[in-house]
Amino acid sequence: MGAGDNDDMGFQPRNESAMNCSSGMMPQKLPGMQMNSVPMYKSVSGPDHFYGSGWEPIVSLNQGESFGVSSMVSHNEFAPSYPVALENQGMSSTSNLDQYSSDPSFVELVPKIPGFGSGNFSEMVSSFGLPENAQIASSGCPPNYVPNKEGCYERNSRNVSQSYEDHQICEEAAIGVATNGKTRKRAPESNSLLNTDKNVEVELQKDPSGDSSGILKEQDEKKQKIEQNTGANMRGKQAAKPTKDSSLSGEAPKEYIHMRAKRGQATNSHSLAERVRREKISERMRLLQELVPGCNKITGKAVMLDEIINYVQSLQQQVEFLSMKLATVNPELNLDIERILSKDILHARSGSAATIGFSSGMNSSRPYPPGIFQGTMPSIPGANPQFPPLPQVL
Amino acid sequence: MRAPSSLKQEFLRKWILGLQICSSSAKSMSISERKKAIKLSADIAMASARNGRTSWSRALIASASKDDNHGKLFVQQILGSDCERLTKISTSIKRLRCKKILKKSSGTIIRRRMKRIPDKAVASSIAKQMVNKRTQILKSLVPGGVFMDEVSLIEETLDYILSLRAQIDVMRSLADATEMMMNC
Repeated sequence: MGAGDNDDMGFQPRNESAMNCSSGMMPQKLPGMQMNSVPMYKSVSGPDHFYGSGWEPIVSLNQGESFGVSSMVSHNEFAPSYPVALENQGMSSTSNLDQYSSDPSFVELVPKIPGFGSGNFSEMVSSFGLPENAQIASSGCPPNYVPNKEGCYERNSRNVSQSYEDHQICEEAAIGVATNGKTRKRAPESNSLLNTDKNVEVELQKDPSGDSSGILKEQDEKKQKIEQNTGANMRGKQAAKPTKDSSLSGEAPKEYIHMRAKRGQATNSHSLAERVRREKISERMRLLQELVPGCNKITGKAVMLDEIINYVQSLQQQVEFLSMKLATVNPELNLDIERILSKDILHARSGSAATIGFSSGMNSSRPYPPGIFQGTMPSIPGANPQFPPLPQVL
Repeated sequence: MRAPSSLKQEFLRKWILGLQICSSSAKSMSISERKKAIKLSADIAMASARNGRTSWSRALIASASKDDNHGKLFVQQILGSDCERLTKISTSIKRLRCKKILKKSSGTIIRRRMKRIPDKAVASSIAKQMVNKRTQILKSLVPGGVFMDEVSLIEETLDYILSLRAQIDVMRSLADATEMMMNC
């Protein structure tokens, strides 16, 4: 897995960094990505966990949005401008989560996320080797922010970050260097609400400029506060300790995914890539958690992997067992579907009107009453690995 | 999006196609051979129900069409027209990935590193070792898993679990129905 990071398991850094966020803004800072449920906020495990979390602005915001967005709702002002489908597959909101647990076609859709992410990220990472400018965060920049801001937004057609971050982007854009967060030693303690999202942040670029300029002013104030508070973070100083105070990742212009390094995390390009990768893995592990029974409370990759392995092994053993059973029961391997259906099941099931249209799927050489089989199939719960009682079949 | 029940229907349809192949020679088979034939045809049917969209299904089809007595027959029968296309895809992908694995498998020994690592990082490296070991096991379980990186491994596992569930349900219902019929 990830090497050279200060994180070991994918689940734990989330806790630590969440802890680091200042308490007051916590509920809004945590990632709004529907597929993630931060363990400490994981009130509901299941398809509706997102809505059960009680983050009202996020709920109202994301209600009609496409699924799979990683959206940051930091300020309420930001809310209307937010999330764009990271995965623009036309999936409609929460119903997809319901289907995920039983939907085999999930896999078709998911790979597009990595394709999207990795493609952009490699571009971004490649630009990180540029030397840092000490003057990037110099105080001469603020006048440039606002006029550049719209430019930034227009350019960042697909990947947009927080406007706070964009204002950093615009600094760099003004200077023309894409750097990583080593140049910024701003510890956004109260701005962590903007920086909490470890995921890829995608934002609609419809931010009205009025909002953004207003936000910029707020951020400037906060910055000043922070600088007074910390004292160690000065503008325009190179980060000597990449692991500590710098918390903003450098942004490359245009279509890069804007990653934000959280406070207390390393910000060089490799660890950013690692972090993206780890986030992807954790997302998918959560989905697996919902699929594998009894894994709702497990946090930790190793244990979760254990459970998954056990489950897959047990499923495979069941297949073996059932095939052996079929071999013994049916020594001639002639699945006489007609006889099966007509004899037992027809009698046992009194007038079950099956609704699933089976006819086209079963057009083998033998005709048989399709209605019966339709009844048999749904009678077995799809998610039930245990053996159902026999009467249920008939 | 595929609903689970349509997946099952697909699977059943293809599976029956496959079973019809070996029903003619069924009497000469021993039980274990029958079982293998059943299982193999079921697996291929399940994999083909994915139409080559997932990596594990392609791997399964590829391995089935190479070895085995009935494997190739099953693949041809069940896949029908797609057979050529899918087997080509599967085998070519495997060849590419084999090279990757050969390069990767110059393994790193974690113990060597431990001497240089301070104590507090030992725990994290132990944890990483644990995770790696389990990942290796999972890779061996999922068909074609050894060729995948971790992110796609988890996706494939998801899909594979769903398919296995559907397969089990269908097989169980058929087994029960047959048994009831035999008993009457």
